[in-house]
Amino acid sequence: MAAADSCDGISTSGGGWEKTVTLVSSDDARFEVREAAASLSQTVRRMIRAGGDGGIPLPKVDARTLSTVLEYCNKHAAVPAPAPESSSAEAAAVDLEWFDKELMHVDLATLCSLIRAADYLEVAGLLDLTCKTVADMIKSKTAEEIRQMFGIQNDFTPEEEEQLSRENAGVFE
Amino acid sequence: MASGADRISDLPEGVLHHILSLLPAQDAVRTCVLAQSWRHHWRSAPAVRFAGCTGWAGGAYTFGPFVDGLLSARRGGAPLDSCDFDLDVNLDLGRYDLDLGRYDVPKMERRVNSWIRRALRRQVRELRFQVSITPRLPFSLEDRPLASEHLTRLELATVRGNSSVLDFSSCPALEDLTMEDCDVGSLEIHSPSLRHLRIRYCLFYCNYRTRMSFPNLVTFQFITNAGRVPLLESMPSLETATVRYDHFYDDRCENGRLDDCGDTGCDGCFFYYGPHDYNCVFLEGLTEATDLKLSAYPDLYVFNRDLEWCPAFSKLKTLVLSKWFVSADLSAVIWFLCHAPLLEKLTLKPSKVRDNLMKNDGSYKPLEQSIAVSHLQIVEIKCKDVDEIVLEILKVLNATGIPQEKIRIRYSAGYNFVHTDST
Repeated sequence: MAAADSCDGISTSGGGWEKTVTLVSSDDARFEVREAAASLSQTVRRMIRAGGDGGIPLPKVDARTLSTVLEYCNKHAAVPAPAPESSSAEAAAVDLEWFDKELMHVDLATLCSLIRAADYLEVAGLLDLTCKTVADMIKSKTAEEIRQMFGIQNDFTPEEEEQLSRENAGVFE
Repeated sequence: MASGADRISDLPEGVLHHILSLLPAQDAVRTCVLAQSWRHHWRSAPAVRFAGCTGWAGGAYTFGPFVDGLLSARRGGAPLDSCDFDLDVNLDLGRYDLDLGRYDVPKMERRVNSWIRRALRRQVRELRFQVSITPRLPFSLEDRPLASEHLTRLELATVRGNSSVLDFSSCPALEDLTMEDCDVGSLEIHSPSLRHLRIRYCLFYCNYRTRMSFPNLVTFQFITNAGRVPLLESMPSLETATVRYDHFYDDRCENGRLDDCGDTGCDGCFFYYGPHDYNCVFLEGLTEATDLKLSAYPDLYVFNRDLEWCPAFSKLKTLVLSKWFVSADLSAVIWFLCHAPLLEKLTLKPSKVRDNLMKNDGSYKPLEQSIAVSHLQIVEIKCKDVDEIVLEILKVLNATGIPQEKIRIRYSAGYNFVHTDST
């Protein structure tokens, strides 16, 4: 490979020439991505800077999760509109909001994988979005409802639980 | 929904703290009983959000002790990134919120004010503080300056200030201040470090001017405030300013004049100078801006008066004037064309105006000097239809030598280029 860094090629997506990078998942799937999109991940951005051959290895993220993360990055690092008129900018924001909402229609296992991936890859927007989704699931629920939802094993003795509830009276009614 | 395996408890600790910091405080604390591993996470969440007391589980009795307890129970003195108080206090209906007797406002204020200090002691960087009392009463902030090396952002809403708390000299890192729906309650607001200021829907004194001193301000938004227009000190780093007055101001003459009417019965003119003596009230503070929007009703006379004393806007590139400029024979438009040598874009949004304000006693001389508008690219007039005032504007622009192709009138429907021979 000629290039010293991990930029594998150039694509013509969006009508212009754009640099791309290749990301390699833990199960060896290769994803060619626009550099602008991949750079939403601070982890990837650092690795691009560091350089290297044959694609950027991401041993903590499987192909299925990575493809969702990249879907997010591609959407959020969209090719900038030629003339940012106020009406179209607003429409774009609404569109992004819908996209985010749709992206969060996943089962809990997938959501947790996405959180881990967003945390490891340091995609701040996606980490916020996924954490917000979990927070909304917790909000206004009783402890038992939360345990059931997430499969959390209650390992307190009844006495301990009683004690904790007493310490935080008012929060548990 | 339960899938058997616990997928959430072994997420990285930082992520769990992040999730908890997105929850209202009571929900965050409640997670301590989920399992042993969850017992202390809430003590380390980087952000705390207090919302209440209405709707507070277990009644409002417990809210005060809860806030006290939570702020002192943070793990290892863990610093707070942000703290958000969004409180509604109901003193009515015989309820005893915040462990208080009915209508015992001072006691409630003391307690709630102590939470701000506590949050500051936790090295909070971003603090938001809003208190709504039912029945509607202002919540008075404690008459003591806030002191913090760490506070960078402060948002105050629906509270009453005072001269001590609005002197931010002891918050040297404060860069961002928002005040919304507040009763200012002070003759001075001061911060040596502030860079971004937003004041909306606030109430200033009606017979005294508040002096505002922000020597490092970069952006300034001053929207729909009531009372006297404040006295602005110079702001050498200012870049953008958006100012809008919507009817609720005391700087208008009851006799419909733009200069001093001399009538002691007219509060607007009688209290124009007070408590200080000054020439320019407001506009001089904005002269370093590159981007300026000034909107007010035509009877707000401060801007027109200021222009008699105001130095040039030597960096101004874009200017939007709404409504007020139509009084005094459009002298404000001429003034800016003469005193903003780098102006590139001028936008004018005229309003219908009372007749007597169009006239004046000759204190405004039509400016005969040549207009230094070599950078001017466009003058845009936004209006509903071409009425008398628009024709007047065109006449003035024509007389100042602005070429027709640089003038356009914009209706809601779109652009129409101007034929000045219609005058």
